[in-house]
Amino acid sequence: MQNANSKRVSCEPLGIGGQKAKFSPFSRKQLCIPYGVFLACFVVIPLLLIVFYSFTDKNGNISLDNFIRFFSSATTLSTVIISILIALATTIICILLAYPVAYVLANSKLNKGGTLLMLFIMPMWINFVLRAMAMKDLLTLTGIFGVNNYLNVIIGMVYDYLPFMILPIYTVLIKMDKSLIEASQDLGASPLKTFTKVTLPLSLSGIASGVTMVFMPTMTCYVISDTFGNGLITIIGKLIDEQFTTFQNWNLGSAMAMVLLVIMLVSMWVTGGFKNQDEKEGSL
Amino acid sequence: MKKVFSITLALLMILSCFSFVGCGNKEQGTVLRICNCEDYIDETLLEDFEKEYPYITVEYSTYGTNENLYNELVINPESYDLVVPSEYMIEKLAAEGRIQKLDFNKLSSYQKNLSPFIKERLNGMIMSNGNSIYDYMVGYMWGTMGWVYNTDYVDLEEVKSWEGVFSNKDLQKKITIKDAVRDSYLVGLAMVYKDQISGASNQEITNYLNRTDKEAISKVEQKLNSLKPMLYGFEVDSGKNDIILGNIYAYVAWSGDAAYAIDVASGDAEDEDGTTLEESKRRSLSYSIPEEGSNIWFDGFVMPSASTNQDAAYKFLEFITRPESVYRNMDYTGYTGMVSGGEFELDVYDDDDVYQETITTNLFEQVVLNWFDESEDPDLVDGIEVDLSYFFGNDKEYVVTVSPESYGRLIAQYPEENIVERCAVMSYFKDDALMDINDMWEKVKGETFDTWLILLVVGLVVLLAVLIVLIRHKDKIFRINIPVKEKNRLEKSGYRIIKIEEIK
Repeated sequence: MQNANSKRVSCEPLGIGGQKAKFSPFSRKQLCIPYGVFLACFVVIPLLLIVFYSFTDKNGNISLDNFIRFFSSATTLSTVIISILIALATTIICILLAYPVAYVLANSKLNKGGTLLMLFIMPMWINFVLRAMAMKDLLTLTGIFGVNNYLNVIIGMVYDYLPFMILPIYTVLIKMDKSLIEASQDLGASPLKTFTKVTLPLSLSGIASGVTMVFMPTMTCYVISDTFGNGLITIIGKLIDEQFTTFQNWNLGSAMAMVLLVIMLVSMWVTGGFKNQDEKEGSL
Repeated sequence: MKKVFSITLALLMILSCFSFVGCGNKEQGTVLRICNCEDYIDETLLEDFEKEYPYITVEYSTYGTNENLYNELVINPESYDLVVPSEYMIEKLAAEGRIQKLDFNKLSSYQKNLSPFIKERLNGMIMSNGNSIYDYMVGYMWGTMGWVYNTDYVDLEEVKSWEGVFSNKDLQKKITIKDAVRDSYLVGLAMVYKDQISGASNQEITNYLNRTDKEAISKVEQKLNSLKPMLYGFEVDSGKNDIILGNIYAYVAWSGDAAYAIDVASGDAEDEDGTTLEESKRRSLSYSIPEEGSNIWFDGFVMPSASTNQDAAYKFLEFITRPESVYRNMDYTGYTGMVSGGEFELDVYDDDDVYQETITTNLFEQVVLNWFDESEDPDLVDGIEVDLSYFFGNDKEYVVTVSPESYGRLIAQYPEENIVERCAVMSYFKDDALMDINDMWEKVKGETFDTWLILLVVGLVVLLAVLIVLIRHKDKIFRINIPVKEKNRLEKSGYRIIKIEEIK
């Protein structure tokens, strides 16, 4: 909404070098300072601490013991594999559920003003532990709970992370140029072909950012695995937590977090998460 | 609109920063910072304390586990004036010099009213620095660990030992044990060494239940793993609700939780949401401390070395150990206070909450006789006489008569002397054993795949990754180099390079 009294500001592309904007007393570089400070305090320094802890032992001497222990323990590696499998299943189910929903929402006349979308996003506003407890009660009532712990955990994860998949796909789809679809139809493509050749490729960036927002958290979100798996399913996040709380071994915990970080970085690099940043318009 | 919104948000964030700063600098009076376990105090007591000492403001916070509290004290030793850890954590904190000895001259009424049993036990716990734990803590609550069981499905005989319920196939997936390594490790030890500790002296039981050598650890690992198929799960907080709801029939519980579960399930007390169970959903639960031996624990107030408000802290300790405060805390939490003596005044109300009279009474009358005594009941046939003189003192007879049905409920709060004799204190895990116990617990809690399977999966993943990289970057890897200059010229002039083929 434009304030009636304010002057109309015409924007023009600015040089990248941080020229003074006409309407602001600060240069672009100066405007970045608060975030830069935030980044340094709450992201870079903690990350450096994790790196430091992971490469030292309890007395502060440099050592690789933490990593050696991590990779020589069959249980830890099995836990990583289980976590990846659960995260993979959750992500795939989320895509399968979220894509049709986002597609309908983006094209629905009912969704004028985003009302329907709001209904899908609203559960996110409730504390997720509460939601998990409610879902557990629901599963217990229907008799599904306790039949298969892995199934329960995946249901819980999908339930909690579905909005994180819907939102980015929806954002991409709603911004998509509809004339491309019309052009495809004009040229005689079947609806299916239009979808596979036009809509789907154009929305891949949304799926990609949805995947990063679902896959990584599900590997570590042990509140869900504890609640829905009755403590019988351990994922890597739980192991890290126990190192920091129960066993007071911050070094090993940091090493586990580091390994996880590297796995994520590698998988993002492999799937091209770093590439084509500029093409990812609309994705979150 | 968006702008206004974001500016407001930013302002709020900045303001909230200032408000945190403000909390630390209250200009008037003293701020007493206390950290206690969640749901472990009748919080109206804090208000009453502030009324009695208007210049003291209590800043009350809670912690989740002893280990979290320890982390907080390590990171910021000055964060609290009083904290309430369990005895093993007190031992660790004292050994590391993080808490200070208390001045009991300022706590004479506490010393007088403390249960003789507790006093003896605490004095007998000599820590690695040569001092007894008594010098460091003001006793708060104590209790035991045992089975809470559903009397419709589980026989008393089965919960007289730790392993009994696991041999009843009807109880498959109806049992939980603790998702806390200390508790489950102790249960494992008691199972592994049951022959050695049955009927042994308290010292011997304590020795066995504190074993952390490799042999003991690996035996416990095998034992706990063999129990897993019978388990509904590992829990720390959900067990009491699961047994009330009937999802499980037996679970390893701390005595206070046991008292809570039994009362709620029988409809005698409200649950955490303040509702009383409907008639049809009520269940008969009981509590049993296995005969091999079990754990006994003591929680108490300790003062961090860096505590800055010692005067206020001693005033609070004096206040919280008054018999009246102890009574109110017990009434609220369901746990058992360590203070047993002294008299206090209590307002009596009838069923319609109308004030009747003020009586002078004592803890034994209020928390034992009023609750449990059924000696007046003419229908009681085989009542059990329980002698609690060991706890309340030898000045007179402290005997209560209960029906067999409520015996379990009584020992959840006041176990008999022969039971506490076989309950051992468990020390904290020393550093050298910690790694082995960590490995053991990981193996018990998680899955362990065969090595070849792990290698196969890792190999497959690496192969997949390589393939994806090859496919994505095939043009870069297999293409023929063209000079950058040429490429830029082509692109600038509006051409997109689709394919480059080498011409021979």
